[in-house]
Amino acid sequence: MTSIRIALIAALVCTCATRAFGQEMEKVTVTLESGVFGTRLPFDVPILVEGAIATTVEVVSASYALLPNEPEALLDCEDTSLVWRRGGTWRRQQGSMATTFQLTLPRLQANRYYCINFSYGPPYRNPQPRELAAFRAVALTAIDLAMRPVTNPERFDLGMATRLRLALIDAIERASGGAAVDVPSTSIFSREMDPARARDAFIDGFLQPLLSLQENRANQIQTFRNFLAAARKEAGSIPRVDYDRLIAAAGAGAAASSADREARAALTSLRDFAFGGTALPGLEEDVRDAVDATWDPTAIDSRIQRLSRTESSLALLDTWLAGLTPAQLKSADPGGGQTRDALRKSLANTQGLLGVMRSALATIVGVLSQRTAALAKAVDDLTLRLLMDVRILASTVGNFSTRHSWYISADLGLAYAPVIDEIFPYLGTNIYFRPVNKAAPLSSLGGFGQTFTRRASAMIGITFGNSDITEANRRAPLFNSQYLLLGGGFRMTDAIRLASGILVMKASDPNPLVTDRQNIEATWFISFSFDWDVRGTFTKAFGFNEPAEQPEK
Amino acid sequence: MAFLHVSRCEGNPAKVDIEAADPQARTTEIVCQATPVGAVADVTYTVRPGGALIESPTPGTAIRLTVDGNGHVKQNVRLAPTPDTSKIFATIDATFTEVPAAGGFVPPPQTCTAIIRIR
Repeated sequence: MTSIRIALIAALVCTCATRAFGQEMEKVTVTLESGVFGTRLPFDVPILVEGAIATTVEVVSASYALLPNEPEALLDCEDTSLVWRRGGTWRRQQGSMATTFQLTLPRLQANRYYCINFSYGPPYRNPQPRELAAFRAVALTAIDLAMRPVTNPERFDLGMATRLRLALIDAIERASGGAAVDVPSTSIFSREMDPARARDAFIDGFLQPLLSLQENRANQIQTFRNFLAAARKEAGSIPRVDYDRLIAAAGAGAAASSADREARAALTSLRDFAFGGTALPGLEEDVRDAVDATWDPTAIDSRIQRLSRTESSLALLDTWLAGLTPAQLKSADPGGGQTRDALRKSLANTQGLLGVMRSALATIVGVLSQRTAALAKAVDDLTLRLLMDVRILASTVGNFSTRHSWYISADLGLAYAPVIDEIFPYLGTNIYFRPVNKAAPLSSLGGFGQTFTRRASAMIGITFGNSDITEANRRAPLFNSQYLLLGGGFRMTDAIRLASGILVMKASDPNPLVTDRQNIEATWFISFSFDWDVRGTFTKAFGFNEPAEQPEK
Repeated sequence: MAFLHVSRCEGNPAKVDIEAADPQARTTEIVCQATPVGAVADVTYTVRPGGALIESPTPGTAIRLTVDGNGHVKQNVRLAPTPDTSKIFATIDATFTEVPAAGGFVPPPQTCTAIIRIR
């Protein structure tokens, strides 16, 4: 009998374990007009927010901020110290006539208050879509030009921030045909906004990435200049007369090969570079001004390619130098061997320095591309500030009836008590020590240690069915026909729990002469149990009929 | 011959609280991207004047660091507590001087900047 039941347990474990819970989003509805959510927000799972919108609305964007978890916190969504994070954005597909939007919010913490901000439009506060497009173009240029001289963040002072803000306000007003923009005084599009706060809002919201990139560009330009100077100095460490002798050797005789001619050209360029010229490919121009002045990545790209040619030419020169015969060296100079070795060493250093210069230019190209993207994003974010805003106080705090379901769950299990060698079914109630959302897969919440408190629970249960535990004059149920189980459990997977504890029963006195006295006794057990919500799997697996579920209203 | 090139530095986290008593809140890890892997440099960290001061590593002291396998050079920098937060950035310059092989050529130092928001 016991072995049959063990097989039954194994079958149930396999059945339920293969039915893994998928990662789900919980849907909540929001009414933007009234600024309310239909329900409390779920926790521990990503949220799908759905709401109704007019067919004229093109974009809905959400951001959220966690409110302080203090008893006396004011729960003020206008608090300027709130840290806002971006949620999802919904954009209307071309030609779509949808009247609902859906966007996502990431996992929230349990039992906390949040402010959720929805920005949507059109209608915008004042400008219309065509006007907004005109504003975007002007804003992009205005920010680009204003930021170019800002080589370090200290230079972006109050005056500069104010000038840029006023330029943007002028731009949006011009785009709107001269009409004032309808924004609150805390908006960066308000002329009344406090300048210091405006500067902070600019930097936090839009410009910090730009400032970092420009600082990086300035550093790379400095590196380029320093290494250019070092390369010139290193090339100049070889006396001019030695260059001239080697150049003569490269061109000596009628039998000069193409390698000789290339070496002669490279030596001549290197000599001229060493003593003030800019004849090396990639260095022909007045480098300092050229790199400083250009904001065009393609111009720097072509310079990188020319520098690469210089490096190749110097590598060929090194090969030519290494291959010089003693006779060629002697014809160049009585101490030609030493001159050749000194030049090769200098050449290696110069090549290394040119390599860093090329890397610095490549970094500048990357920085300028990122800057273009950062500018576009800054203008996108600015434009969002012109959308309608709805700021909603929401919470993951439930009322009593919802909260208790986060702490308590039911399950159905089979237990084995080794001392009495019995297997018996039971219904258990698990009591968690923190809120647990069963819709959130444990695997999505981190490793075993991180999910420990979501797995462990206390357990209280009762046996049910025709229990074989009862034995006349030996063991009797604690209640009418049920035994009590007390213990603790641990969720091994989303649906399967391993538990252990004590089975409490009435036990007859071992003395056969004493028949009127029963003691409360206990024996330990271990059990597997399955969450009550997977009972459908049991009934399907074993052919039991279950009443059809009513569709959710 | 490939010399050290430092391409970018940033603070992690990019925002620190220099009013906090907690040293952790005032600490940011300066992560610089550099090539080649294995290059060694003496690095000094300085903050530009105003608003914040570096508490650790000791200002002016060079630390010998190596470019790790991911192309990173990392160092924790702790700012000193100060109630003067008139500035909104701590601009931390990391200056790298490559340590050459014995008798080798020393290329010019390179500076890389991490812009840290302070509050």
